[in-house]
Amino acid sequence: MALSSKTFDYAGGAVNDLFAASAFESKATGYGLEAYNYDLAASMADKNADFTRTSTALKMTQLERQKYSVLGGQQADVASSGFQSSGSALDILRDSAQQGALQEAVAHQQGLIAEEGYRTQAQSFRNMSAASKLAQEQARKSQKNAWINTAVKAAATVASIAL
Amino acid sequence: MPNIRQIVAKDVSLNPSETGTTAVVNNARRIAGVYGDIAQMQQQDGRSFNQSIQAAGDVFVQYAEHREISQGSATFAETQATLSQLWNEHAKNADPNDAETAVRFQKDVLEPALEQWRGAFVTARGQDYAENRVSRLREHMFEKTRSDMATLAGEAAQVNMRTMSNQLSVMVRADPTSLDMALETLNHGVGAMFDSSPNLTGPQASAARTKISQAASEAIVKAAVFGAIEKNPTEGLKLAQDPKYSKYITGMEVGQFEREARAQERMALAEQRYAEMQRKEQKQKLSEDTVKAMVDNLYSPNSTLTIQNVRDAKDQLSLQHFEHILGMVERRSKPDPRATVSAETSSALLERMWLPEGDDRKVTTLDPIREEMIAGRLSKADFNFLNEQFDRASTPDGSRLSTQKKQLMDAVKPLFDKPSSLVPITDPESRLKLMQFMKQVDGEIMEARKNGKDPQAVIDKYSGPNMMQHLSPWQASLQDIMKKQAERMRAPSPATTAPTTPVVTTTPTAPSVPKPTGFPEDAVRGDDGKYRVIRNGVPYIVMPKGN
Repeated sequence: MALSSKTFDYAGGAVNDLFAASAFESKATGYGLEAYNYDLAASMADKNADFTRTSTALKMTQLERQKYSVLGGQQADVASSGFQSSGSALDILRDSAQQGALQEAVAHQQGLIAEEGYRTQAQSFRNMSAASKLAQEQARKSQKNAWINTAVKAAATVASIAL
Repeated sequence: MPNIRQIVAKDVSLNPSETGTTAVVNNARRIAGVYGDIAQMQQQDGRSFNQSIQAAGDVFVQYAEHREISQGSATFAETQATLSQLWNEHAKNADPNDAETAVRFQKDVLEPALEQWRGAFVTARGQDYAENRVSRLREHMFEKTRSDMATLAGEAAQVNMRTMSNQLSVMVRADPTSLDMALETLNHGVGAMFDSSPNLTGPQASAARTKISQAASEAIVKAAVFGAIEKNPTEGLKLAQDPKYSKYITGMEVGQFEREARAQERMALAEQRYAEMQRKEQKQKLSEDTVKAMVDNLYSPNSTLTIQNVRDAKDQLSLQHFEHILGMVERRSKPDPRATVSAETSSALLERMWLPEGDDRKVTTLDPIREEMIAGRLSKADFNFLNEQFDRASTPDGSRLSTQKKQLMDAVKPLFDKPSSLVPITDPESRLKLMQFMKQVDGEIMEARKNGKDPQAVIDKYSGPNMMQHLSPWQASLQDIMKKQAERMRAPSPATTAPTTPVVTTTPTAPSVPKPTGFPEDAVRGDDGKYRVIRNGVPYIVMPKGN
């Protein structure tokens, strides 16, 4: 095999392929990060599902609580009417305590949900920043490479005239 | 009645918070969006880096490719040159008929070098370039090595064929009748040579085979024709015109062979004549050597030469020499001629002997000297002197000196003939004195040579400003001349000893004319026909009495 234009065609092609490989690596990284973000979103969705289930349970409990509340009102009315019923006051206290705790837990849980949402958003923006910085760095590299290629082609142009 | 108040929880429902969920859900979507943005930025970075790396990589690759190809071009040229040189060295010492030579080079040298060169390239385009160049160079070297081996094999085949052709040509030139056998031998040799060569294959080899075979056949046939013409021009021409061999000889060459045949005939005739001339020259030389030995014997103090000896040696002598030696043997018993006669003959012969080459009058053999000897116009001493001069003139140095001696003789001869300008009377003994003078000059030259001195000094001495002083002892006084002239006029005719046939004389003395009556007894006729007498050393012209 002799030295010819094809030699440099192949060499140029190899360099081109190296950069193409790097480009695919970048794309893979991009897709990876996209997947990671989707994973994050999925995770968030899962959490939201849990939140929804919890919320549903809470709502069921609350409906149960309303039913008992109505019954309690009826028993109270009964008691006030002279009917004998044992233990009713204690039940009412216990029930109130439970309602208060529930209220706190829901508020707390809702705060956590919002926090988690913002944390995820922050992480996502950081990822976005890192990607942009990487793109900036690559753009600078490409700029330098463009100068190098310009010099090489200019020199080649002059040399081709001189030869 | 008592009224008991009870606590009742008013609202026990829990309300889920949607704050976190809503924020988480909303932010999850937003974070995914942010990370989506981060991923988009990272993807954008990746795309940008990809583009930058590609851009820079493209440039780097271009640079690396350019650098590689640029450097590779230079090193490729160097590699190619090195490989070519290595191949040349490899091929230079290779056996042209070894088929593995190129393969071994490709395997052991070429491929490792190409692999090493190609290994230096790391870019795709560089490797493409290298592969292309390597492929091209491999192809080139393959062709080159194969071609070179074929060339080497072809050259080797050519050399072998030429050797065979030359040997067969020599054979058929000596024996033209073996031409057909030689051609058959050649064809078998060519076939064996090309068929057995692993590097000579394909159409080129076939073409080379045909070409070499044809050229060798032509050379052999022509050699046979030449050989036949040398032996018998007519038969040789028939061979050249034989249709059987027409494919080896062009019409122009047939014409050349015809001219060659005629030239051969002329040459044969010339050789015949030359041989005849050689025989004659040899015979003449033998004759000359024989007659010379006989003459030496004849004039030696203890001569034993007889007429019979001469007759016995007749076969070795030319007719002229035979007659000469016979005449000289007969002449041996007779007295020498008068000194003046011999001197005149000698001076005339010397003049002719010293003439320049090409002059018809020049004496080129000893025959004229011998003929004068036989005729009685030469003394033995002058004969020997002339023989010596002839021998010396035959050498290069002697020839040069002879020319100068002739110039000296020409210069002094008039001074010997007419010592006085007052009286136009020739000294009757001028030739005798001239010869004595020349003999003295020659003696001094021989002495100078003997003493290692330059003979030229002798010539210069007599031909310089003091010539008259050196000649004065040889010149006769006017009185002596007139006296000798008068004696000559009174003397009887020298017919008994005088030459019967006058020789050529350059300065003939005045003819001996009977003196008319009426003149004084001592009156002498001059060259002008006038008669003179000397009184108190003074010449006077006299007239006959009564006038």
